Amino acid sequence: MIGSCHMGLGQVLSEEMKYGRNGHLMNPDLLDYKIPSVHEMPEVIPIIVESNDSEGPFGAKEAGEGPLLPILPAVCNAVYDAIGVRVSELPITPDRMHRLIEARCKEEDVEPTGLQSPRLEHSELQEVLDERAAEHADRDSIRASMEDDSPYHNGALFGFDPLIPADQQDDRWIVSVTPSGEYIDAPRLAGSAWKHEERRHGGAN
Amino acid sequence: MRMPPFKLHTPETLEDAVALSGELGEAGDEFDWIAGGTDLLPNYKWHLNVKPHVISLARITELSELSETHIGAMVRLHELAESDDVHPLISKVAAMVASVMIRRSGTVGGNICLDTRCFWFNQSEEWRESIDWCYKCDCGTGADCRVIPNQNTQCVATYQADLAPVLMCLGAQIHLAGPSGMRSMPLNEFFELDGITRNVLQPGELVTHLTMPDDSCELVGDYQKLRQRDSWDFPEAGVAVVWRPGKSGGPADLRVATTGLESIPGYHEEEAASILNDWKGKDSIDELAESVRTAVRPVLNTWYPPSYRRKMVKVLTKRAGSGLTEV
Repeated sequence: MIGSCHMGLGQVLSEEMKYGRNGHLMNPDLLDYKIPSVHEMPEVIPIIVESNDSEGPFGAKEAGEGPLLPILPAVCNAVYDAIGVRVSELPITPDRMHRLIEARCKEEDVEPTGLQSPRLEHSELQEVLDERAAEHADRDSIRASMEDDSPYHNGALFGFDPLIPADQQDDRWIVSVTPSGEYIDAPRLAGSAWKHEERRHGGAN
Repeated sequence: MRMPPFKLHTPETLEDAVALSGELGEAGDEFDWIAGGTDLLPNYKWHLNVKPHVISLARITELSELSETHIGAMVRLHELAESDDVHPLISKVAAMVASVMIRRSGTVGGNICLDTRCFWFNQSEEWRESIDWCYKCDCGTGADCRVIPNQNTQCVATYQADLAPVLMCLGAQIHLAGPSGMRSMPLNEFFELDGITRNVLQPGELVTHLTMPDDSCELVGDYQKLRQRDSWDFPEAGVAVVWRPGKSGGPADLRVATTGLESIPGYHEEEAASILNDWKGKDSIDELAESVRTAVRPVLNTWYPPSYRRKMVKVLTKRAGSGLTEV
């Protein structure tokens, strides 16, 4: 996980393959291909959340490249949070960042120190999510304090029987996620894939 | 990437070394000096201008003397960084060079005579062959410069060493020895604008030591450098601003030098003098930064694009000169 953080930070901040005008890789060595060194790496504290992945062998979950992925949006969002500049090209090297800041300042007609950081405004959904997260945290701590040391399974926090499928034990537990016809008629951006027609065979049938 | 064969000579005194260089010169054999080897050996592994003979200076003890006014060419950068005798700015800059392992091996003389670097030159032999070589290492083909084409007269590789601008500003005198005798000159006359030779060293000559003027301890200043990773990258730009605190209202003397922007470090005497004549405090520092920015001519052959390096020279000059307002 620390290694993934390192790779992610390198990818988002400094690692770039530069090509010359005739297509040659200009930095094919570790001095010019700038991988963060031990001095650039911050301290990383991995927190491992134990879970049972039904797709993996013996419930195992991969931990190789997965932790790399959130590093890139996290750093880009941190930049956005600080100065309100959205980065669309990686890595965020100082020269690229400088160019973006200059463009932003010109657009807003302010000094670089006058750039406002955007404020986050939650929708109404956030309250519901916070409530649910708090309830779940309670259930989690209750299970941790119980003497029950049986292995974790999906629904364990709700006291479900591991041998019976969870959706048969509680109506609120949804396994199938096919949306209703009403939703498919007017899906929002994320749901528009449901209207996608399969055209793998030339779209004939 | 394999080390090409060469014959290593290890003279024990300066006289032996100079005599040996004279002998090799008369016999028509080409050779390189090796001090710390942190620059030369990677270049040899890349088959960059390899010579059949290499003369090591490691056993010559008289070259590693270090005192307040005398810095031997074989003094390791780490010794310089740890030293309490030399000017604090020199030890600060020495501690900023590359990484600690390189500082343990790299020397003052080697840092001053550092080979210039370029994206089209510091590459493996196969890579350079695929672009039909370049002007600096043309392998007998008379190849054109790849950075600025159609100008087969001057190499524009970048000089990326840290010590030179600071030593120049502190008024160091450099001492050379060679088969034709000893000579010395101010450090800012040591460099000559050319990416291949980069200094006035004649074949067979070597740097023996640097002497600092007695009044250098009265000078104060700062050095700022630009690089992607603070751990061990070469400077993409570096600015040294050194001044003598005046009695009242402004510095009594002001010197500015830059590195990492051209084929040699730049000593900006005129810019500093014109600012000093009409001292206006903070505005003067901004003016100085702008004049240094327009004076330098970086080209596209290192990690950062030249436009960014020029902009940052202005910022670095302001930062390095920020202490001037308190004078």
